[in-house]
Amino acid sequence: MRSATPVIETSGLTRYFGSKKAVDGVTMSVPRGSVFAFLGRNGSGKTTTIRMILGLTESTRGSSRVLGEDSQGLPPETRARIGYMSESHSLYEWMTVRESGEYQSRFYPRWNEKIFQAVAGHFQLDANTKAGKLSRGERAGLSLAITLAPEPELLILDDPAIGLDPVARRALLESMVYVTRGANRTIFFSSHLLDDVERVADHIGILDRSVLRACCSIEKFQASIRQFSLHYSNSAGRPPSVPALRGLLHVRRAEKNIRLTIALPDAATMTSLQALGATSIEEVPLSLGDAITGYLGDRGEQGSFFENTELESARSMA
Amino acid sequence: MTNTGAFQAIVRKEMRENIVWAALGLILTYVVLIGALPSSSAQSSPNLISVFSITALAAIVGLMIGRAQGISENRGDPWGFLVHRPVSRSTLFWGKVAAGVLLYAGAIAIPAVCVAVWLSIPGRVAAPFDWRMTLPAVADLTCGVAFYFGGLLTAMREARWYASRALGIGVGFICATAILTLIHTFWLAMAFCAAGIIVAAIAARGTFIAAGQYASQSRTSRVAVGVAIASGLAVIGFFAVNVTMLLTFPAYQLPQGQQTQSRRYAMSSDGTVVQLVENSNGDLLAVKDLQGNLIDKYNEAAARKAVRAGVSAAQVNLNPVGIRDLAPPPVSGYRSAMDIYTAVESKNTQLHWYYIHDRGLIAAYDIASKRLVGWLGPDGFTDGATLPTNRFHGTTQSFRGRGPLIAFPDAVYDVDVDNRHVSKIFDAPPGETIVGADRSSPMEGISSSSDTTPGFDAIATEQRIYVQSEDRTPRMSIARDPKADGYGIAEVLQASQAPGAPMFVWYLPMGGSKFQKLSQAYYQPQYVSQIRSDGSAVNPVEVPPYGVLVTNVKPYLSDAVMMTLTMPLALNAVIYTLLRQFLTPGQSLAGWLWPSLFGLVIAGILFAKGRRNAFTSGQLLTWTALGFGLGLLGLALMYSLIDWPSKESCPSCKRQRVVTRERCEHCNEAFSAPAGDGTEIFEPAEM
Repeated sequence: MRSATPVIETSGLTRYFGSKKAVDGVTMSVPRGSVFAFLGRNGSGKTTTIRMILGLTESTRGSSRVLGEDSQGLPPETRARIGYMSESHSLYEWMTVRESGEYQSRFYPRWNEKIFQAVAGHFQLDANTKAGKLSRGERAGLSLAITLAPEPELLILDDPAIGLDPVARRALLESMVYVTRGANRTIFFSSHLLDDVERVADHIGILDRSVLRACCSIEKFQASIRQFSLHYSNSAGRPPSVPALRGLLHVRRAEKNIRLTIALPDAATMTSLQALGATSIEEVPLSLGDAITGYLGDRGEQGSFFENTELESARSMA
Repeated sequence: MTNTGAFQAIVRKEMRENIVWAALGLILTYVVLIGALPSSSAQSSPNLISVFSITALAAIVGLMIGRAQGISENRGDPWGFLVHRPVSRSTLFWGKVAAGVLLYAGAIAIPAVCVAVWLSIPGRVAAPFDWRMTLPAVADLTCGVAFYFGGLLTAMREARWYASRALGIGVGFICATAILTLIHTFWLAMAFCAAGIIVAAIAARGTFIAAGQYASQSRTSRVAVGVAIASGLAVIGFFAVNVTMLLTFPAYQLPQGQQTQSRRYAMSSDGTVVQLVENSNGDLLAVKDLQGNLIDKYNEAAARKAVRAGVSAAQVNLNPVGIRDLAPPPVSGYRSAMDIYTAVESKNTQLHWYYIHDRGLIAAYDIASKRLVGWLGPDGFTDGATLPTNRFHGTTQSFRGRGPLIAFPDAVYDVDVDNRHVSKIFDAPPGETIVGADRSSPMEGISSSSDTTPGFDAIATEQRIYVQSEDRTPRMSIARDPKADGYGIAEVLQASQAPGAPMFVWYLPMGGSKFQKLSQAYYQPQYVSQIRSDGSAVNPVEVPPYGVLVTNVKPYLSDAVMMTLTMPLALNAVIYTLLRQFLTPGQSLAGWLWPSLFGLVIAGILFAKGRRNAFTSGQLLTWTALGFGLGLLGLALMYSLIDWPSKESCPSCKRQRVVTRERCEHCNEAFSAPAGDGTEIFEPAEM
């Protein structure tokens, strides 16, 4: 169930570090009740954007609002409604699992000890183990437990599954989704793990080198990215060079084949493709992961990774 | 949960995290205090109060804990984990501070109290113990809190370590300098430290709340950060100027082999006032009259050496305030034992003697057993710890433990601790109050073995100066010279080799009124008169002010340049106003003109810099005024505080515009959204 007001709204959110523009004019809104995946390559500005949304870092210009409040002046009552789990799963190393829970519970009026225990149990955490002694997966579990126990309306997770093994990752996702299954709870998470995105997200935002290029539902995104394979018969010679097409994301060229990934192709795009003189044009079905990878990858014509390498030469000779 | 519960949780967490630093501070304090414990010897009396002078220690421990608390979670994810919780950043800050100050206070106070308790037990040190001796430690402990906040501020500030980041501890340095060298009174020292703490705390809090940024702080905390950083710059500037002068000093030293010369005035053996010219080794180079003419009979070195032969003098205090306001705090005030006791010189190698002001008695401590063995009072010596009935009455101001005479408001006593004997030698006449007394001695050790002139005692009351023989026979009394009203010292001299062995009274301005400083004393004349036996003054001589003491070195141009460059205009104004009576109109004009011109140049630089970086009109005005008033300090302050924004070319007007404003400061054009490349996929937010 969605309500009218977005939980997160940003407008022209920009951040410079010295002369480097880390985030450039990000304008987006995150619908209440959504599971919003915030994607981008390393260094694209995801963490900085999250920190600005939470008021942990000041924006150079632009603004953002969370749960109706300006990010730079979030009152304690609003912070109580937002759960935040940082990329490094910050914890006080000297505290035991139990002490970590007790410490956090002193701050939150709606602390739910059952949730804390349930998540901690799911990750099989020993209450007397110090946080500094936990494995990476266990740290993530403890971090998630103290983030979920206050029953936040909005859960912001910065790459929560980074560095976790598949079992821990699965446990993390299950806990996350189970606890926030309630109405009007929103999850905003950044990730590099496309499987996770595919499994839980219903909305997506993609940062490409500090600029937000996509912000929409998963369905719309998947429908917007299409891949075409252009085949050329032996008699036609080498495939021609690809002209500048609107929305062209990626070109992969082979001996008798060109594969084009295109965003928002329309009739004009199809006409342009026809003009390339291919023997046949075939649309290649894309999974969400492939679509995201295609969208996030370097733009323009790319050769094979092995092209021009000794390995490729050897393979050709063979 | 309540805010109280959260606050307690923060305090507990901070205490647990930083206890190791407190433990380190505690050990350090123990080591320093135990190392400072005095040992008793026949040569010197132990100085207990110096044990509790722990300014540097408090500063180090305060800085250490403050910095540790701030640095551990000041950026990145730890910062997010700290502050993303439903309490205000202010609550988090004060939670940290409560824990930090408790740890700091514990690290300093626990060892200090232990050492004080140990010293208070009889038999530990051969000296009286008084809890007031711990006041310097209390002041230093308080001063260390300013350093603690300085440490927090330094840890939180977004600045480079090798540049301005650590300047926030300047407030602590200013407080420490003030309580060590300027402030005599304990409560004034506490008030000064409290002011420093308030400034540093506001600066640290504002910086914490703004996550280290300066621009986004409230106006109050920006001012506090400015004051803190300016203090640090002033400290650095002070050292830089002194090091520069030290390094460049050879450039304007005197030619090789030539030494600086100085002059002073003295009574010669024939009873005239002469000018002595000496080099820096103390060699007497020439004897001149008051007009500066060489006196022929002193051309030979041997004659010069005997210039004051046969002159003996007793120097009496004329001012009830006495040395207290003249000497720096370590010598007087609450950082000195002077208000508690005065060590009395003795030839006895078994005992230390102390005049204890509150008791009005002289205490004897056995050096071997370190225990109190008896008391010396107006009625003589009493064995054991039993206090004698009769005491000395009133406050003695001028007694420094060296001469045999102790002056009280109503009487003067001759005290002979070696023979354990006390005798009253003078009673204050009705309606008069004694302010000082001294027994004569040969001037500067230059005496003649043939000199058999008997010594004398001089006693000053608020109205008159009395002179009597050591056998208490009155010799003369003279009304104090009204011209020397407010002067601090009178010397009663006798030139025994002059015809008739005349006596003189010489009024010296130093040590005078409460606000008079030593330097000013050199710009006031001295008065010397010969005194007849009936107390009348004859042959008065007005000795010109010393003025510039060093005579053969020209004023350094570099000094003037250095002052112009480094002294804020406001400080120049104060200095030149205070010294105006001693300066020529040209000097006064130059003193105002050069700093003003220099201030204008700096103000122009700051104005231009502000304009280029799109300062608001209020910011421009403030920084221009600071540039004019503070000179180089203002310039350095601006570069220390302002985080200069990046600039990029405005697509509309093509001029460079700062990236921090929503609109171009030149053409008011808004920033455009990032250019699209045709791959954008957006949909309206769901409603």
